[in-house]
Amino acid sequence: MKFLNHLTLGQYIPAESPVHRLDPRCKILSVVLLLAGIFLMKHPVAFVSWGVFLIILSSFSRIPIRVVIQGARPVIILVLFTAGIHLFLTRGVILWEWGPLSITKEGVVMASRMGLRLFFLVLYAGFLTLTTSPMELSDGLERLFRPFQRIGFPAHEMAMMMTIALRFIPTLFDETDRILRAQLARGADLEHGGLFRRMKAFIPVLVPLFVIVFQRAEDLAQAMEARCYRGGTGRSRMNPLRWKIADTLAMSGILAIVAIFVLIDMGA
Amino acid sequence: MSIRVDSLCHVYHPGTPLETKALSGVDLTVEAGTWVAVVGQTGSGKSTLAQHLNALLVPTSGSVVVDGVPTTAETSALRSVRRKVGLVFQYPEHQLFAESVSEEMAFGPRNWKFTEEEIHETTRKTMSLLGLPEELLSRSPFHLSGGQKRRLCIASVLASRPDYLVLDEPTAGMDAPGRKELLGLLKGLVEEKIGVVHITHDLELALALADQVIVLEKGKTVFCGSPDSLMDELLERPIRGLCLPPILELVSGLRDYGYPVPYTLDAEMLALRLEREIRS
Amino acid sequence: MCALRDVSFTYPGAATPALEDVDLSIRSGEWVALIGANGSGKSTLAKIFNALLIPTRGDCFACGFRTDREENLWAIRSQIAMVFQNPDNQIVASVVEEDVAFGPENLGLPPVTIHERVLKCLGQVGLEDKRRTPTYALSGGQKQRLAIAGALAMEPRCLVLDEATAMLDPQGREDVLEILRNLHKKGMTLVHITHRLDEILDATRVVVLGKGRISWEGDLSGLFAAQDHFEEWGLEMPPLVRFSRLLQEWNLLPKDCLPTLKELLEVLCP
Repeated sequence: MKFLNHLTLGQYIPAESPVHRLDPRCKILSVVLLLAGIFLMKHPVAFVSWGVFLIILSSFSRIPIRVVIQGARPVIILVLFTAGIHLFLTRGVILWEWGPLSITKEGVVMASRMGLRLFFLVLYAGFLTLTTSPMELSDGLERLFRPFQRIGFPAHEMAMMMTIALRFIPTLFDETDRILRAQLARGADLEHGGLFRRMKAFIPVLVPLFVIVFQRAEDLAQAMEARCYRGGTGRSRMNPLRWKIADTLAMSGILAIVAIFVLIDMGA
Repeated sequence: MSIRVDSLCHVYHPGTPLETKALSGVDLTVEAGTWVAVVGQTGSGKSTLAQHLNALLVPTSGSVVVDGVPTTAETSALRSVRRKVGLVFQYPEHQLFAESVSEEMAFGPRNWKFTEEEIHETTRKTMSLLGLPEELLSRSPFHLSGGQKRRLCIASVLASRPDYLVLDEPTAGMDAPGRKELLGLLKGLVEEKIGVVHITHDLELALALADQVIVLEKGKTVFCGSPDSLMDELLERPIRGLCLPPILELVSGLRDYGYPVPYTLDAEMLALRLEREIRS
Repeated sequence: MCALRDVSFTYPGAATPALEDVDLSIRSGEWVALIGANGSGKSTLAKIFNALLIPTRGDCFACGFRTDREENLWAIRSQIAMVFQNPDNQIVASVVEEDVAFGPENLGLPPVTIHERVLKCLGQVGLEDKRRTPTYALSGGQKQRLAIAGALAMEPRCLVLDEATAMLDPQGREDVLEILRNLHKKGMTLVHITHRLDEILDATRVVVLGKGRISWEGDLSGLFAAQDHFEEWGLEMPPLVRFSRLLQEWNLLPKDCLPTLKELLEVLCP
């Protein structure tokens, strides 16, 4: 009936922790810094330090490290695929050969580097969504992009779209399920046949879904207008974002850590 | 020729933290050419039961046998079950997708490998059964009125010539005249020897139309029998999970006070009986 | 509160008008039941009240403002709030309290005021303990109650409900009606659009719409006295009403007794 784990990709877990309390802008910017740091580093040993840092962060945020790693599960295939590509396609000193396939020393290094980079990217980005509610994230992004509104970037609209899209993901899940069942009951066969045949078989599921979505857009627009919505001008927030000292400290700390790690890496 | 449900149990998400027992030991027999009403509140399991009847769901334990074919059989047998038992979901307008009414009607039969001639024949017959004029055939299903859309959806399921038709709240959202018309048309199906299973939370509707009523509460059967015996049962004891229509609540209140009036949906009869009691 | 003069409305591209020559006034404190068969123009009329639709002919004044002036829209919509038929298609946020806050946020109110209003309105609809619940986890009835809370958060003087109970089960419907009764007692003007006559038993005035025109207007007892017209108007007499009218005819029930379950039991079983 109702699926409860819709937002499985880094589902928000409410908790009382110092990380949860940080301003979302601080968290977003910190993650960007961390990702820059991860991609700048080359030595495999460096990744151990990122791992340690992750563990520290997870204890600060009262989220078990096991849960954080689970967030990477959907993407593990992509990570392995990327690692695989680097493993087999990098030229250099050959270590092992079998027919057309060969693994080089450089390949092993590249594969582990890129694989680990992706892995940590997903984990740290997942951290962001685990500790920040969708509304906070959208508020944070809106505030960060607000200066660009002057040159025409629709920061508020983008944030509102994000909020509404996230709100409707579970609803759309259920509706797709319902339509699927209705068409299965009418004899639709979605399991057999070639790729083209199966794609065509999904039309009776996709068309009704589109109809629902368009009707919803119209109804929702009216409902929003009825509650005096008129874009971002003059809009206040129930929980406005407030940049606190803790945020400044956190950002400085992250900046310092990233800088130190990168410098050590460059020196080594 | 019947659907037999025996000790049906269904558990969603077994073995996970979301495990829920939707049905526990439900028994039911639906004979061809009869009208069975399945009554219950939200969460009583009626929608789950509906999906078992045409093998969209398979039993966790117990059995569902449609004209001798159990719904745990292999795929080929299952597809024949699904053709025999048509299922119309609530607010079926959400399943419309075709460019024309005739395409929408042909979808089911084509899936069941009817010939083009058979499709043409069954489309014509079913549309007339549900009071849809032939000139609608070339129109887009999205341009029909609300009532026509609803009837089209039911017709498109009937076009596959099922022996049984399960309808989940077919009159949801309809006004009084629309509801009356649709139910009248559906009653005609029973005369065509189609077994109708009517899923509803409206006891009043169920009692007015059904040959047999089954009441579900939290996945369990709390009553199964004829509408008359349901009324008799209410004389003895209240039935759990049954949201009584206001007139039956009134009867309940009057009886508690001491007036021996019968359980009836007929306002006129109730008034007459009460008048007699008061004057005597 | 609201006055329509000679209002007609035709949807763009439609052959026939959805509303024709409607003259209607809604007075402060009334509970107006707007009934009629599907297609009679009820929803169209509802959207004219709060300027979601502008009459193609005639004038509509809401709270003294003309609805066809764009500069008035804000004022009108903060005083006349609306709840729609589809529970899902009016909820904007992922979390209950965030959705109730949507209206006040649009009005640019300070955070403290918004918090107060959210708590108060959730209390009025009985959803205080679901403040931080995700909106998708609510039942249909709860979603409609949330929509009502969201409308109340605008602190309107009038609430228009456009078939708000049509998609609910009996329990959900009763929950919504109970909230409406409480609101009306406290002075809220209500315009309740429905096709179910068992929902209008608390109304102070009834307006029957048919094919875009007003077929009849009056109070509850007048409506039930006109039962010969019901078939023509596409209405169905609820059993309790039929019952009480018979008893009234036989002088077993006072003429002013309302045909609700509660009143009938109070009078017949003292």
